[in-house]
Amino acid sequence: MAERCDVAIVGAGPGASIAAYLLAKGGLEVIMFERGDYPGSKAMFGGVLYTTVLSKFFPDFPGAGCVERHVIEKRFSMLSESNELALSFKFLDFEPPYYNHSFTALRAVFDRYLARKAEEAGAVLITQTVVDEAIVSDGRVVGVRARREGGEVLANVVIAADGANSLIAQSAGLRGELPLSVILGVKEVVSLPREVIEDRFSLEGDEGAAYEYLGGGAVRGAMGAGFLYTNRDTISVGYGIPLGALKALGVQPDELLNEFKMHPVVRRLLRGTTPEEYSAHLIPEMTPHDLPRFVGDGIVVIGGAAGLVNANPLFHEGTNMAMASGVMAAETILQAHKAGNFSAKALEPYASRLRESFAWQDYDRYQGLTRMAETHPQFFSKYPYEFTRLARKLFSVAPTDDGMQVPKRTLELAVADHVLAELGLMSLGLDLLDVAKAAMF
Amino acid sequence: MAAEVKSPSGVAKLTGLANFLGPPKLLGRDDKVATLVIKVDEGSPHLKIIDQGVCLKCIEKPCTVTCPVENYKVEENGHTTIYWSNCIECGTCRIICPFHNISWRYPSGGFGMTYRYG
Ligand SMILES: Cc1cc2nc3c(=O)[nH]c(=O)nc-3n(C[C@H](O)[C@H](O)[C@H](O)COP(=O)(O)OP(=O)(O)OC[C@H]3O[C@@H](n4cnc5c(N)ncnc54)[C@H](O)[C@@H]3O)c2cc1C
Ligand code: SF4
Ligand code: SF4
Repeated sequence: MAERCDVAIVGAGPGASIAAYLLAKGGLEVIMFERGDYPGSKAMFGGVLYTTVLSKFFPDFPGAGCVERHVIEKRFSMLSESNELALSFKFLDFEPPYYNHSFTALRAVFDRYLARKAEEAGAVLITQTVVDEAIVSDGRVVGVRARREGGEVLANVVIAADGANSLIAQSAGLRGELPLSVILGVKEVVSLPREVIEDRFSLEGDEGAAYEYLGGGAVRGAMGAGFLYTNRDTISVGYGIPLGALKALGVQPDELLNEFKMHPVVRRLLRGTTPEEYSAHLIPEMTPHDLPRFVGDGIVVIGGAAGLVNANPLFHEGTNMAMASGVMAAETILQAHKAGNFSAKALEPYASRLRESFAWQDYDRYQGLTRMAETHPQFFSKYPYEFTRLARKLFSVAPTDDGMQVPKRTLELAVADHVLAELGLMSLGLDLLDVAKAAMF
Repeated sequence: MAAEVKSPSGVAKLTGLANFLGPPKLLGRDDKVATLVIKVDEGSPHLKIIDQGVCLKCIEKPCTVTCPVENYKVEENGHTTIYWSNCIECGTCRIICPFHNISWRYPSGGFGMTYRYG
């Protein structure tokens, strides 16, 4: 006889754990399968954890040691080969304990914290166990097949919370192959004493910084972005690049990371650091057309498995959307449990609530911008270099042969010339119009 | 209970600022892999080339330039070898192979790589 439970959850990431917590609290028998040795042992992100949803259920998280630093500076910059043009936002007036709900974090720490909350509520966590597929019978999902002795577990509902690769949603027929728009994220956690980090990045106490590097010299002008986030006594440094762009670039991803680290601007921030851990993971960035269906008979898909990310040079969000979708899925399943009906129709409220929430709306709004970027490689291959060059022209303090200095007006004209000759007012205008158009939707 | 979750860091100790002003330490591919705990399921590769004939005809061989740990190598006889024991389970090769010529699954529970930071 196969084992039985109310809900079988594949994965023990943030989406899974918050769903397991709510379901177990609601009195359901929940089994959560995690293929790693412990939750977070196979997970990686940038990363900044967005804690809006988390704080509602676990208001004490900031004191629990599960996050690193609260972000007080967001900095966006464009790199040329050796120069930088940056825009920084510093916000010092958000209130503790949650500040701006943006905390740098490490997944091997955070995921364990959240999974323990689910266990404390009564969910069963089984680690070191891969689920190979959903068991489908007469067109409906009735359980999961785990790769171990007696691995068939029957359940009223399966939650596919297995992240970007989501083989479970695929095995249940809810989606096809992943497209080349998915992003490969590559990073290193490098160590540096906390005092040095705080001094170097102008931080007090547990304040943190999040730096983003858009295209240009960060990843050889390809459609990608570098990042650098300060943890307590480590720094997360890495980049993300769509698989299509990576393939076209033809550079080994590990070498590209070293190149980014050695960029003259980035290198100065990383002085004295020692790599502690290398990692890589996919970000499921895709068009609505490539997304899986969110519900089927006896199954719901949440978080990264559902393609819920807002991954673009401006925002890198996903953990919050995973937790939000986990909450909505759990609440729907609790209703379905009361009614004793787990058909796709009974689970549909999850999908409709999801579409009304920020998780879908932010995805939908910004994926349009990403699609636009795919057809405008100049945003990554040209503008970062050109804009940085313009700034260099304007701010050059240049001596003249007669021992005087080039007047500002000459510099301004040189900039105007450069804009006309290299950028072309027309094409620049059209591109900006495209950005505006993409941002409207 | 809060104390149970600890940051794995605490590696770098402050022994004078001058020690932290040199260039960042860089690791090559092998040393990057060596930062990870990897338990190899000896004799049970979780990744396999389905048909070498397909690889022979594959001109671009994108698997060889997109794996973050450079696990794909083209041998002298033109065959493609996967050095699967260093796999960090990202899923890139599964998607990048234009011919779906890689049989891809996760390593069994208890095997593969483990992040301490993530
Ligand atoms: C490079 C990078 C940078 C990112 N930066 C940010 C950021 O700064 N901020 C942010 O909010 N988000 C960021 N994200 C996105 C974020 O990581 C994801 O959106 C989020 O992790 C999704 O959570 P999840 O719970 O759905 O799945 P995941 O976190 O992917 O968890 C899935 C879990 O399921 C397990 N699992 C998978 N398959 C199986 C199986 N078959 N059997 C058993 N267990 C299985 C895995 O081991 C894992 O523990 C980033 C992602 C990447 C890759
Ligand atoms: S991309 Fe696929 S077919 Fe081509 S060499 Fe690699 S594994 Fe073989
Ligand atoms: S899954 Fe990722 S790390 Fe493993 S072989 Fe494929 S590309 Fe390389």
